[in-house]
Amino acid sequence: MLIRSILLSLLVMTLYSCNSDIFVDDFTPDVTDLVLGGEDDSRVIRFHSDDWTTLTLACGDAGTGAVMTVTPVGGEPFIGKALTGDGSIVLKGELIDMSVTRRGASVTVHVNYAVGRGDIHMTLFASNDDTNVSQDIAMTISRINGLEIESVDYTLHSWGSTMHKDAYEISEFSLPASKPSQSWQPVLPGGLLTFYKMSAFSADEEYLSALVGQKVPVPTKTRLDWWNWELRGDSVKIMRDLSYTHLQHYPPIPPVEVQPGSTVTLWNVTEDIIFDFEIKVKNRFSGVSRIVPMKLSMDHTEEYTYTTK
Amino acid sequence: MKRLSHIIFASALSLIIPLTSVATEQADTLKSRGVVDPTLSVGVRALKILPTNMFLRGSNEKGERLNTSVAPVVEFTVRNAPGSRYGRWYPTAYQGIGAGVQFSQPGGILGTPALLYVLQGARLASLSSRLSLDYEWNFGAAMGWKKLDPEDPDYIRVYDGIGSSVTAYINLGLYLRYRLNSNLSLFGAVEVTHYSNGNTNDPNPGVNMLGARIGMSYTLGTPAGTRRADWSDFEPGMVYDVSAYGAWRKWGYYPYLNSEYEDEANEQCLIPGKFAVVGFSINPMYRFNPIVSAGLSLDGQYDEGANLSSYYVESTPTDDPRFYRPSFSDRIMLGVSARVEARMSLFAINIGLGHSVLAPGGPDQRGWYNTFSLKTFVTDRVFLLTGYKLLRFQYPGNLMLGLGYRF
Repeated sequence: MLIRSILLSLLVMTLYSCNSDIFVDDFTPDVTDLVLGGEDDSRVIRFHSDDWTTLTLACGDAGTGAVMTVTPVGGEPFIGKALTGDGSIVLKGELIDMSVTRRGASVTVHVNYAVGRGDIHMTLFASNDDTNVSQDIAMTISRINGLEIESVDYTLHSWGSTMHKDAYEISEFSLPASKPSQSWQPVLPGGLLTFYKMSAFSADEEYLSALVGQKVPVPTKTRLDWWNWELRGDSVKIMRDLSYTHLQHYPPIPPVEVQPGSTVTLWNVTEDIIFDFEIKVKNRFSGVSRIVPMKLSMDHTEEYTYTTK
Repeated sequence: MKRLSHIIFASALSLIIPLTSVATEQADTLKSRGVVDPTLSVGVRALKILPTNMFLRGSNEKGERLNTSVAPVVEFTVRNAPGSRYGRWYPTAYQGIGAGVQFSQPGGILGTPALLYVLQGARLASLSSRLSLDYEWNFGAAMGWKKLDPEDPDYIRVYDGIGSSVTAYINLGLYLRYRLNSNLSLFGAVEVTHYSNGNTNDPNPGVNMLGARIGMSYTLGTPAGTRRADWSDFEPGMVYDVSAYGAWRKWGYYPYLNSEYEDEANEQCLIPGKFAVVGFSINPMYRFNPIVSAGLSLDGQYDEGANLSSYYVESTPTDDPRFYRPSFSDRIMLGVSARVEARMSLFAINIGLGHSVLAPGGPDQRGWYNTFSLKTFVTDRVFLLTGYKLLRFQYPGNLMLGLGYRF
């Protein structure tokens, strides 16, 4: 009985002496950089232990309408970006739908969709509030093209102009002195070169970016007057920066009489015309449509001139 | 602190209980049972406090140097019955319990601890028919040292004296004993005393005293008389002691271990709380005679707080640090030690000198170590273990409070 009591006392004494409060476990993650695709992609981050308290999802600009909702296990959802304990953080907007779920020592990142152009960068912070130790995981999501153009609607009667004019050399013709004079009718097999760019309101910039590369119709005129705008079948790729195309529909180029021993140059004198138009796009993942107001700035012919030397 | 006092008090009691119960009922299997020569002793100890640390030299609340100490003590002892095995093997040995109060000058600095202890002594030589030279050791608890509250905002560590309100009390003396008659004796002794909390708390400066004791003893009834030791029924041979122990201890750490500046790298900080220690030893020994044994021991220990410096979480404050949890292998050590043991009746004092052979966690458990153990045999085979481990001849180690079995 005495020995048993002594043994029990020793055991209790030793256990009671344990200084467990000062120990924490290393929670280094198995990855520090994560690349995910923009459509139905998942990655699991495994930490060395679950001895950490808070998971924070940091994202500079999550896009239009993006809301981050934190739902702790057994708790009520709230708007925020920091999760304490197990649970999930859901980031949902018009162009993104993703979640980060923590269960103990593992965190699962799932991207349902991330629509747009280029990569979106985020950072996950796993931190122990007691020790102030934080583990950072950089995440890169490669966004995909998930917008379908349903319609394009131009307001052709309210076009504007910057009043800026340019003259572009279109073609040149030389006639030897030994030849008799003749009429030169320029032929442009690739169409008429013209420059354009598109813009959107800042709130819709991400849509413009997401649509880059997709084709939309552009207005043309086939007479040298101001009111001849129609969609005649020409189209351009949506671009944010200055780009060019070859219009197939444009005012006819008048012929010119070329004298022997001279060179004639044809010039296209253009004015920068601005059109308002709206693109109706549908997110093919969410099925939600949105009308995106945009502007097209495009050089159109005001007149043709010839110079001779 | 209450826990510490309870455990030390329980340890002291566990040493005392065998003196009265086991000695009379279990250890003695031969023809005569029981004890003889119940003796009451009173004495007074006059001691010089050795100035071994700043606190004792005057860095205390009163700014005064501690000089002397006086301790009246009362002891009760018995001898093994002459016909018992212990009585024949250790005829002059006596053991018992003692109590006293320790006063020190100047007062109000160290406190006035009460002493409760077990003791054992025996004759070293008979100088004449009335005069003998004896030894006696005391081991127990000193309870009631002045202890400051570390949580107090005005707490100054160096003023915290001995660091615990309860400490171990260890004393060894050489006695001249003069028999006035068959019942009454006078004695005088020179002795050394050590008080320590065994690194179970901080600070642990220890107090050492050197002094003398005088007193008188009165034996109740008719004394059994002196006899010569009879080892005729002793057979030398191997014994195998297996023991396990536990304890708690304080640890420090080096928060700037990797600093390029030497002063900073050597700066040690205290870790809050106490750490558990458990260990074992497997100690085969050759028993040359009833008193002397020697052998080798395989020693293993798990120390929860060993080798933590390299696991310090640098983002935590140095006075409230956190550590990454070391692996089990970082906290263990195995060592081999040479052991010498002196047995006297129920008690055996075992001294070891060893070296680690496996300590993968780091320097805290590597190198030489010393063990000082008191075994109290509660049966012929089962013993209580009370000991202390010292590292590399100077660094405080840990208590060893446990149980053992002799095969």
